[in-house]
Amino acid sequence: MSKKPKTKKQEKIKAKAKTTTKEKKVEREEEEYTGEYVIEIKNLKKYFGQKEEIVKAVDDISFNVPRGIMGYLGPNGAGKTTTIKMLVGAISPTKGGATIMGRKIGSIAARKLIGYSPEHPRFYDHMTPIDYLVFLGELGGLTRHEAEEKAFEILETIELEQAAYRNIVDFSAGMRQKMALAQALIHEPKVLILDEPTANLDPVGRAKILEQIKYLARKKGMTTLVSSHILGEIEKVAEYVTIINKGKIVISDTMDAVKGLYAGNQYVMRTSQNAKVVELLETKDYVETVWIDENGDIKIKAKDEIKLKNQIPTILKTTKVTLDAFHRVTVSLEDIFMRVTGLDSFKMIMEKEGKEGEEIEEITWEYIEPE
Amino acid sequence: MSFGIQKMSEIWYRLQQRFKMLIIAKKTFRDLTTTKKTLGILIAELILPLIFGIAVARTLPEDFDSWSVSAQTGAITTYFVILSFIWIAGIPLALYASSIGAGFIAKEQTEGTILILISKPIRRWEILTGKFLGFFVNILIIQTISIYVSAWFLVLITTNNISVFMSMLGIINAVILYSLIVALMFGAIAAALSSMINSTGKIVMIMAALTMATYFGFFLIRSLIGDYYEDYQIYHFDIGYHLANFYVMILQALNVEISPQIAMIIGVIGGTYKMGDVFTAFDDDQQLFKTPELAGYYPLYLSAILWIVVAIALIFFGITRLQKRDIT
Repeated sequence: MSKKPKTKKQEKIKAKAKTTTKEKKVEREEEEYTGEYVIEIKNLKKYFGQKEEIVKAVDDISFNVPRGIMGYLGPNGAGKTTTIKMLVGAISPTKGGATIMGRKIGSIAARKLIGYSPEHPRFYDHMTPIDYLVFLGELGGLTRHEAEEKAFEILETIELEQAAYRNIVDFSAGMRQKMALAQALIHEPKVLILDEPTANLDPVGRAKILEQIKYLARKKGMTTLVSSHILGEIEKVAEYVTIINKGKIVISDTMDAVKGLYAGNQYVMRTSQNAKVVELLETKDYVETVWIDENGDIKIKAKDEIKLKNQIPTILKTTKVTLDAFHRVTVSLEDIFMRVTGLDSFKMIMEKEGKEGEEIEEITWEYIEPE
Repeated sequence: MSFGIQKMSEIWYRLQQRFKMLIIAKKTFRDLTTTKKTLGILIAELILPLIFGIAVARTLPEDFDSWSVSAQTGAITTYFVILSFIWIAGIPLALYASSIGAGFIAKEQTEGTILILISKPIRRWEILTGKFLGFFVNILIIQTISIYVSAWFLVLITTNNISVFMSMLGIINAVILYSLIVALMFGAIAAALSSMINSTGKIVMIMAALTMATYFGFFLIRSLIGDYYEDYQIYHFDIGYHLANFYVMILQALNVEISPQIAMIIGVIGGTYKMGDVFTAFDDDQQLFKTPELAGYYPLYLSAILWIVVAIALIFFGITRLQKRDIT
């Protein structure tokens, strides 16, 4: 049985110990979060406007963000920024919800875990980067000294240390974008939510920011949800991809799985004697079609993919050819994006009409639902 | 020694983490207390007392220096109280407080800086209250300086007698208290509007109209409509009257003698004293003006409560609005 504290001093010590234990418990919970997904979004909705003029910006979306980097893609007005703003607590969902490492979005605990860089970052222009970062660092829970140290460290990493004491008002668009990333990192968040972090940057600046994002995710274990309209960049850094269109999630999976899905059952093969291999493959029941493409490679559309893969060594042995390459057809993220958002439908209509040799007098931009 | 400093900074850190509004308050205070802004408001508040002091000095009798300290204090206090009501703790202060309060949320919203701020672990109500706290400390310093300096100007220009200045300390502190209340009330109303309306310009316009209505609008209405003012009980809505009541209440509470001249000015502008009496309350026996009677539509304390309740209610409304509002 514990004894009652005798003096006020003892009571204070006990109270202090209790507070410290509570703080440590919260920190430990953050460290020890073992959930499969860092961000879990369930039936999230955000509608703007009234009855008849209602805009379903985000319409009942559900997806999860595992540890690593997830690209969040969609055409303009698809609902990316609205989703992100709900995750950071700027706007409240109409229905549904989400958690960040088990904490409800918008709560103080959730916001402590995230670093957010908005699409159009704005700062207190009269402040210097150091003052600004220290201010936000203190809000994030750092002591002034810690915030100062961290601010210098980040500014050095993002190559802004020379401008540490200049007013932000004098910064170029690229420097501002770097500042946006810096402020997101100042309180050492576990999750980064970046809305178009490479907007307004030149190719070199974009590459540097992406390198930073990769570094933070890999070395510091920060889970990152990054939206961008530059699909090639996302393809390079993200392990996961989610595509939203007209407020609804179209696809959400690992980058490889998505590419695999859209590559379908097509394979590319290159051997020392391609014609001989094609001749043999045409006779196989597990092959739907086979041909040699414009690059001189063999293209195989399989009926039974597993059987095809298993039979490759036998085919090579039979034909006595050497194998240079065999892989699934590579599909770019841009191809997938265009297909799932229905944007490739326009292209298809025009190509068709062109082939028929008809003169196109008027192009109507009619949207066709993707299959 | 260093242990003490370390301990203090640890306490300050814990306090800041418990009440994050303190971090916002610190930033707001620093933003407001720049040399340019401080000099701007000090010059605006002190220019009139300086001119007024010179004008007063010219009207004083030649033997004013030979008057007793209490007589000199009485005369100068009268001028000081009038000057404070209209100017030092009056129109420029109300406009300054309004312009600062107007920007609390609206400026953050229009400039887009609020998005990053609310993504950090701070409660929304702490942003508004923190800004208000920083503003309060700023106004406390500015008003203390400007009120002490104005009083010193008056004394210096008229008698240059330090004893008169010392005798005025009570009224000086009363004016500081009143000016803080004026700043808080106008600041609170502007801050509440700031969390509802996105345009700082619009809020400043509304607040300027409110300030003008407080100091001039109802004075004109009272003068123009005469008895209808009482018949139709316009005084319920007369914000100038309620503010003047508040001022008189503070003066009475701090035992400041309200001379007939003070009552006349406050009576004309604020309507706290009976209009008829203001110009006719002349004591034939003593050949002096008498202090007119209070109009008494409202007890003084009730007017004070009314202003405070309205300001607090608006602040709460503003906070509630901010809590629920989508930041886009």
